[in-house]
Amino acid sequence: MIDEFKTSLFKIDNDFKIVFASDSLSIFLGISIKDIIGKSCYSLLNQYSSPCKFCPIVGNKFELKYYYELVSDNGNYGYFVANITKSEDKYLISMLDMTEMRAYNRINKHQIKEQEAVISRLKNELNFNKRKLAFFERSLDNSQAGAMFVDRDYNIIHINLKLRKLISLEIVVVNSKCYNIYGYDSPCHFCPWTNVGKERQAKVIGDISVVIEFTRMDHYILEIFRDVTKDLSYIKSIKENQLLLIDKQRQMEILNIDLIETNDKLKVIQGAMDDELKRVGYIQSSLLPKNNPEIDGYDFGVVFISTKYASGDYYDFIDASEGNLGIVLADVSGHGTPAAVIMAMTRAIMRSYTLGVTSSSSVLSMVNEVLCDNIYTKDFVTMFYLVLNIENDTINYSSAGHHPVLFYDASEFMVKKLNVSGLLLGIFKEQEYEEKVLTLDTGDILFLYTDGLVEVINKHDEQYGYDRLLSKIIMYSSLRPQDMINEIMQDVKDFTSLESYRDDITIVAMKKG
Amino acid sequence: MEMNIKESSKGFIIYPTGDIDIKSSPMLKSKVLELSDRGSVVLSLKHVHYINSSGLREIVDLFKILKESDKELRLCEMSVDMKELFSFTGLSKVFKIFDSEKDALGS
Repeated sequence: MIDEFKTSLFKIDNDFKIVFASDSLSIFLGISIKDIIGKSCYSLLNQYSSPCKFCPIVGNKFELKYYYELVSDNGNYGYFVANITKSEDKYLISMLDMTEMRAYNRINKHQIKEQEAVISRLKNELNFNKRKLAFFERSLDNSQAGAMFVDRDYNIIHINLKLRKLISLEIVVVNSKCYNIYGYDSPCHFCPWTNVGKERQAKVIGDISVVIEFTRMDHYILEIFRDVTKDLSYIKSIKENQLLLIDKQRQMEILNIDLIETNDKLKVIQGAMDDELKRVGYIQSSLLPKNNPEIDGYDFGVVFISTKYASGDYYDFIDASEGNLGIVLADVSGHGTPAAVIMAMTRAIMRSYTLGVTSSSSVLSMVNEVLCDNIYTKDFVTMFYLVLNIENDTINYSSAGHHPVLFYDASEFMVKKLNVSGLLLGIFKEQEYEEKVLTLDTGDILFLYTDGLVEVINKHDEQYGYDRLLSKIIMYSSLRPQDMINEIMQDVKDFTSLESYRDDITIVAMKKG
Repeated sequence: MEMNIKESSKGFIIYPTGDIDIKSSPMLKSKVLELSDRGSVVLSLKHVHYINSSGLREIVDLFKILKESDKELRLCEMSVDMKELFSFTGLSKVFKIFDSEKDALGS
């Protein structure tokens, strides 16, 4: 029975002599039992001449098991585990043959190692795939487009950050199905699993509009979401703006028609206003002297050109009594009806206050007082006023802001300025005006003019100018005053070559005969 | 008309360039009124070629408006022609006129 377990037994005495051996030991060694009995164990098994160094009996270590290999003379190999028990003065050594078991163990170990290698490789592959998946997931998360992976069973394998932001995160619950994203409880009608060839779908999810592009990959579908809410909003805005523009265009057309009608009406009104200004102009003209004074020893010339029908210029010859003739030249700032009204007012004041007053400065002071009380606009009046004493051929003259009158001195063949200063009329009350006196000789000319004359411009934006005027006065000094004025105005016309003047022009010339 | 403005510790100096006429004077007037709320204003006329009656009208009006709130407009650096204009119009006695902007600011 012992042999069936492939256990070899032998018993030795205190001198290591074998006193018993089992058949299995005999068979393993190829030596008959009777030849075994009596031999020492160390010589029989290990061919030693003395007890083995590791002998447990010598070391008295029976509790340990000993593994060792034996090779018999007939070539049998065995791997044994030896167990030694002491019985009285004998030792029973049982040697369990572990040869096959060790072989099995070796095979198993080899298989285990192979399996471990496979497992290790699979682990590596798994880690690699995990990293690869993590990389793809990170890439997807970094994508500007929303994206999700879906499997055959409509499970969401991965949904990226963009898509989570795009849609409400609350609706992406654990184990959500892809169709839940689209707001359905069952597969969508446009599902690419069931609609073969489906590549694209437009959909409104909550407040956003998206276009989804489907890409099949074996058992998965990659769904890319593109947010087109803004695009649609722009398109909507453009459409609305287009409608608005069309509407504006319609309104503009209506407005245009209205403007044309208004323009026509304005033309009518303008015509009426022109007529009105013409009438004002007629009235104003009627206020100007009809004829030049006829005084022995004196010759007069005038020109009055208004840029509009109503002018701001004004001149007058006033009989100041006692052989005195008042000559006034004035320029109201501004043009049109307001200037004409102030001009008419000034004329009336002058006519009222000059009677019996032969001092030019006194007249200007009085006129200024009245004008200051009666001009309600920003306008003012410049005026040159002279009083000619016919009997002694003298003039006294004053100026209220008017540029100097030119005096052609025949004895010296030169033009002088009659410089005299005084504040513009109608600005501040209680003004005193400078007054000067001049005696006239034969051939002397007084040339009164408004600044519109020297300010005439040509197409090169050049002014006619003071110097040119002086030279013309000298040039035509031998002529009668009216002829001189006509020549000068012809020269002005040649100079400007423009159809109209920028400002009113008035000239009054008086020549001592 | 162009218009440059210099700000100093003593006030503002306005330099109109070109002509002061019916077109340019409203802009000049509004600028003077705006700056006069922030300090004294000097109008340098060194780059002004010409002032016509419309321009003169606005400058006189400016004077009147400023005078109502006890302010004044100082003028400086006038050309000979400009001085003559202010002389025969009597405005040289109305406005404070200085030869240089330094004098205008310093007084």
